Amino acid sequence: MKTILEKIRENAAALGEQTVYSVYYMNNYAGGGREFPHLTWKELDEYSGKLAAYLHRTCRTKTPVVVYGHKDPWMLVCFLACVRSGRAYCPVDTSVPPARVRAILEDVSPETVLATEPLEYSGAPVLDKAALLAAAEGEPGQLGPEHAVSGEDTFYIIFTSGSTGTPKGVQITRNCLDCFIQWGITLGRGLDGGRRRVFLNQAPFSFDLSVMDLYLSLYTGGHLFALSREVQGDMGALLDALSCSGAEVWVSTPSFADLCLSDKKFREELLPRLELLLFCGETLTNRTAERLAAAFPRAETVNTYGPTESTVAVTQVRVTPELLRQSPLPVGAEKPGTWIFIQDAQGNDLPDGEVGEIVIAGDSVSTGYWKKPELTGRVFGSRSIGGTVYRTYRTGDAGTKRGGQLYYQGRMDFQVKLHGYRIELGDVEGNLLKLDGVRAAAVLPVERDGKVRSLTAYVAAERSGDDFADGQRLRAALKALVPDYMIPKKFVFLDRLPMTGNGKVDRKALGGSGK
Amino acid sequence: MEEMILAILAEACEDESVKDHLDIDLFESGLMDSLAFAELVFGLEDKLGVIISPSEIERDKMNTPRKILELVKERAGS
Repeated sequence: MKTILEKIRENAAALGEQTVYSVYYMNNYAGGGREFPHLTWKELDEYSGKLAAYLHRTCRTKTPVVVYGHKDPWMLVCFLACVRSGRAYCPVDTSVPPARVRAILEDVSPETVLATEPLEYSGAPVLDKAALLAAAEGEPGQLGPEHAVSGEDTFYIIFTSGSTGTPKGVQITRNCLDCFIQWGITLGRGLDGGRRRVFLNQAPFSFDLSVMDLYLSLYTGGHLFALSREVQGDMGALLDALSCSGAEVWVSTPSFADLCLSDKKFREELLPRLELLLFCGETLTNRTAERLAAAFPRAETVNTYGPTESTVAVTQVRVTPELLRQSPLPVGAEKPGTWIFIQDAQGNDLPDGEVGEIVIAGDSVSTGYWKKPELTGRVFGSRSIGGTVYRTYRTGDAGTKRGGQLYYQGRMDFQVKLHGYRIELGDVEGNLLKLDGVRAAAVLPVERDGKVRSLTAYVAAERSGDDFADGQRLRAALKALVPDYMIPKKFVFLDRLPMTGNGKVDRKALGGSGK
Repeated sequence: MEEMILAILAEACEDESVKDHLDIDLFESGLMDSLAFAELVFGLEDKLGVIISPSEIERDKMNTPRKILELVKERAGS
């Protein structure tokens, strides 16, 4: 088995001038022409090897490096430069508001920050695009492979919503990523060997769904075609981008597929080469799967499940017409090297058919949260399976197993999955409380068809008499603190929040009054 | 007809207040995002048989409840 870094070097040597990555920005639609910003395999290899040499020469420690930007081709160069120099990278997308970016930067306290988009930070030198290019070109040669991260070293750190209002970093090792890839390339009819494919990238790099398209395409010598955020919000541009992509492997959240399916032009004729659709990040409903099967009758759809803490995904199932007779759809069977146990609150394994917490054991489970040993100790552990000790992770997801298939049944706590994004309701509440005039806040998910559709905020706050305007004011203020996907759709104003006997917010009472 | 359209819109936005703010900019106010718009399109097709292709319509032609009402009534009539 080759490691991801060995395989990338091999592919770069073989593919040279061929494109490894391109991105469709809004100006490609608005008269900017058909020149997509891109990177060749040779450029990726050379620039990342030389930037690795620069990092090796200029940094004193192996502290993780924050890479900030939005789908710029140089972000890939930066990711690989970090790991080739023995450092983990921590991707942060521009959709993260400045206050949260600062919280992540302070948590990581990197020695250097690589930024393809403007970023204000005084805690460490920030290399912008011009400086990155100059740094790479100023090096005489590439850094040797002996300096790269080893198997148990952290390869990347992805930050996810934390329950107290500050995000937490999930550390993924190179071995975790390699084990994920070995399984990933077997999905559908298999992705390795034969020919190189075009993979579609929807998710920003700070969301671990992007690891699926990025590394499966890098491992298999593919071409990753990315859609910028702006393009995803304009249906005309989006359909044009898709028709330019020539995509053969689709990787997205089910919500993004819903968005595309709302236009009748989203069908086989638009993406004639599409052979596989991979979904992860939230519930795939029967309705979405049926619409996809009708729009792309020749493509295969595979549903997957997994938290960031176990490297993207650990179960998979092919969505066939027979499977579609079931509702809800299962999320599938474990990958080799992963075992899923359903446990009760005391940590006892439950038999098939019983509902409990989904606990994952295996070779792709994270080593824990960055600089949070207490939180890590609470949800991570270990378990001996067949004489080998594997790391375990208690997901907080409720689920059940039947006939070898896992069924996801929602969360056991105050975390939700909204359009694929993982949100701790406490994170939104904690940030609402920072706003002027807000005395108390509770955020509840609104569900339909077993899927979270939006968030509603219940706030006890100063009121002007126009609740609608007050809601608009809070929404605008909250935007400076949390990413857009965490902003509640609806604000309900109350004089005070209902409380339970033990002094906690009575969420049940709110759920009843808010609909 | 109008009531039905507004009901579909309110369901897509998950907010009844759209019925009382016919001239509000749905996107700027955060009442509607791309996904809620997709829900609206599915709803109009399923319940009224009116097909709207998001790629063919400029967003500023459908950014308030009133504009949506007019467009859908026009499409349903033709």
